[in-house]
Amino acid sequence: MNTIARLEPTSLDDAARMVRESTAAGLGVLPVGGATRMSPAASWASGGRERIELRTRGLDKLIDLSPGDLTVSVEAGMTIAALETLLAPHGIRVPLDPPLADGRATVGGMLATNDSGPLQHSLGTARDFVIGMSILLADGTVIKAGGNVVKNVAGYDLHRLMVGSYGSLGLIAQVNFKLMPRPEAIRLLLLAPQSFAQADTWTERLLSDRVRPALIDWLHPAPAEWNARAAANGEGPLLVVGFEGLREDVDGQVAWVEREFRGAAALDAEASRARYELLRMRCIEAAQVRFRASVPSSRVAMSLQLLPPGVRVHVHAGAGVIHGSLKEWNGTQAAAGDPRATGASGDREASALLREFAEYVQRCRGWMKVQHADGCPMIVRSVSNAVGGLERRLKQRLDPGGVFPNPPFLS
Amino acid sequence: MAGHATVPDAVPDGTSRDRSSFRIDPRAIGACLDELRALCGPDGVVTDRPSLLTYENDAFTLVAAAPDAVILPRSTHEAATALRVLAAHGLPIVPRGAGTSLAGGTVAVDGGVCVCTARMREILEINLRDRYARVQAGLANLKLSEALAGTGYHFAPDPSSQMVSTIGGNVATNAGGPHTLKLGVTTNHVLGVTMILHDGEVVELGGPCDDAAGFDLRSLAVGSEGTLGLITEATVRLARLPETVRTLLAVFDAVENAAQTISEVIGAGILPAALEMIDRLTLQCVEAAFHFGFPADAGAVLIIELDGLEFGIERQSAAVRAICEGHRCRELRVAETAERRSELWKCRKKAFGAYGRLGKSCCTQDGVVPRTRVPDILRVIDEVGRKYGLMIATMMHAGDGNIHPVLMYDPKDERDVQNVLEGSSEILSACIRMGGTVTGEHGIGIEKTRHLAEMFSPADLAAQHGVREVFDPMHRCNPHKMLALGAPCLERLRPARGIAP
Repeated sequence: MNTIARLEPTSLDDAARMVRESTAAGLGVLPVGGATRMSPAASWASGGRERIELRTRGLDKLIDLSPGDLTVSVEAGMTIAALETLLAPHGIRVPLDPPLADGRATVGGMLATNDSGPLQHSLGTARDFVIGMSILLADGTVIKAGGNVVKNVAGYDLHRLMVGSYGSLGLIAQVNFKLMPRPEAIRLLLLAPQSFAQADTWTERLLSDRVRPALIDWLHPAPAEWNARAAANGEGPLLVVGFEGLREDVDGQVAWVEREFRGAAALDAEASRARYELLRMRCIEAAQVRFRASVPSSRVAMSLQLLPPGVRVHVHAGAGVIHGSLKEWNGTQAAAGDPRATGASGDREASALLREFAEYVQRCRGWMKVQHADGCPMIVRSVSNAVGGLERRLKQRLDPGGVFPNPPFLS
Repeated sequence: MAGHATVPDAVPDGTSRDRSSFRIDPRAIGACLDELRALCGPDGVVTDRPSLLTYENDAFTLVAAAPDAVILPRSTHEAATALRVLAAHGLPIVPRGAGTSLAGGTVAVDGGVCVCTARMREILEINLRDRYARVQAGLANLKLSEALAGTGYHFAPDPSSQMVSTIGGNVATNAGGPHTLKLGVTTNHVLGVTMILHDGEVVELGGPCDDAAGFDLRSLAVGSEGTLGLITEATVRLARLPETVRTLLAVFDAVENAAQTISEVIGAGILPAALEMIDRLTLQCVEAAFHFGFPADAGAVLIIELDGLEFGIERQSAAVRAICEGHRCRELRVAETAERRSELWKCRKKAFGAYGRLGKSCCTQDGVVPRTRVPDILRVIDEVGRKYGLMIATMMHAGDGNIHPVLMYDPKDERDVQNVLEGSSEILSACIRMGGTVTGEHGIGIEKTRHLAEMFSPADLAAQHGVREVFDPMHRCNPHKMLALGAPCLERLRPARGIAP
């Protein structure tokens, strides 16, 4: 590891000076929020370049909150938990629910990694709610994109370009969000399908019938502590369907599901809230290898059948997002197409299966991110050379000196 | 007044070069016409002068400039081959859908070849399970929702022009409409686009997954106004239709009461599907034209549309009614059926046609302010009207703070035209001062390039130019639109036909 310093600016001016000086000294700059997602083992085009870590937790000020306009503007080092605490008394929220990671996850980190949660299916992703941004570039200049009103078509949406850029183009310094009212109520029901195929059929019905679910999550293997009967079901996942909004709407939909799906277990308001918090934390264990894949919703069940045994998954089935973890296994890099990987001998079969999974995901025009506990995240996807070329030129244009790390999809 | 900021003469990143205009060699056009005819068929290439005049402007009627030729490809492949031909001759490309831009986005400033998507109207795929549709760019917005009739799904963005405006045009301008408050604007409904770059290379940006890995180039393409390439196909999100809808129309004596009603509705945690306002002058025009029975002395009318499930809509609707009454609403009409609903919407949707009674021509502006500043911007509009002696009627997507002042003018009166340009400019500058923007849904086009320098610093604009040059290094895609190169071009264009010299 050739990190030579960890800097913690307390103002945007401070941060700009640090980046300018680091760039002038030929150092790389790695933006770090709560250090919950991005591994510090990021990669640079120029190999073993010395770098500083720019920690944003001192950049955590509220810049503007206007509940009447449903907008908020904050520095990107603010934690998501702090932002939620700030908004809750006004009955409003940023409708994104990635894991809070013990309160450490930051707004900037959420945007840089385009992280999301169970509500992605009904509410959307970060790009849907970011309306403006200040970005610190490698030469120390701060640029603005978008604005602080909910509708704005002046200029290219550079603020949306930064979402999912993994800190590779510049530091996300300040963010303006569009807000929504907090729902009056949230309720969950637990269902126990016999198989992935049945879970898929039920999901399709929930997506198209009388109800409008806020979330449809599958947990596999069904965690025993959630529902003994579901856990006993063996093959199938535990299916959690959730509703939020007006009290009457929520209760009416819960009653409908209870009527239409025999054996559906409705949770009361308190239990629903507690279980929702668990879902938000993601029901996969802290494992040696974790992955995230996105596929069209209809391809989820088929994808899961290709996974090797022993993989724990938490799926946002409406959005088609699959989170998985493998406890002891080293074959990931092979699956991700890295020729350097060897894969431990006993894992060969699992390795082949995971490769099959990754290939299927890409055939569905999806993608997969794999992360070892101590390695760089790696993204496998299938895009044309022309698109890759545009991405490389964009990186070159906005960060000509390669000061910020390469994104994991352009290695 | 806040002066027009001047756009820097050179690209503000030091790479100064003279691209302030293309000089089209007529021989270059002539040389490629045969190739283009072979590609698009004889009906697919327009070169005769009278027909070209159809393409000299769009719904922004103040200026005009005809392209040297128009081509109408039938597929992405055909368009890509055509763009390779145009690239070989170094000709500018001006993308065009139905020509409903209100900002002059399709005016061929330097001439060149207009690529019109009018013959690309196919729906390529509808996938209800995964909630998306893939369409060709020239499909009219409304046609997609019509094709979905009976499925329970629709394409949510509904700009007022949706009968004719194309989905490609909606995507290129990130179009809005009255129902963006709850569901978002066009970009929130675009999963992927197929775009042809300046050299004819076809790229697929994004795809069926809304969180595609990689730089989000789809988000750059949406709203790029044809400056990054030609959008030929789009994968759009399909939304479920609401189970039930309640539309309320409330008449107020004063704009302030209407504005307070809006604030209180939002403050109560209610997010209506639409929240529209029309002012007194608009109301009078509508009343004179269609006789809806509105009081002629009313100050403002609000249309508040709620949607959701049957279970809870009644309580929410009652809450909104109570808020309206609490702010001295003097008349309240509620629609529970589709027929009654479309009657209430008529007074908003027919407003534009009713303006015909006021002036010979009108220029619609498109500023945005934080929604709590709506009363302030209405006062500014009033002052501007008096200062320039202009009649200005205003309708607005009040829930979004998106105002549409409509400035009436006589196109034959040169001073009137000048007053409209200056009055518009003052209103837009006021929007910026209030923390807003100069365009919420119509786009920058050629009309508002000068205002970008009021909103953004030279460094901000340099980054924007950088992005443009990554996609189109020679500035051949819709040159002069959105980001100006060299002097603003509005002044050097000839006025539209009908305007006296």
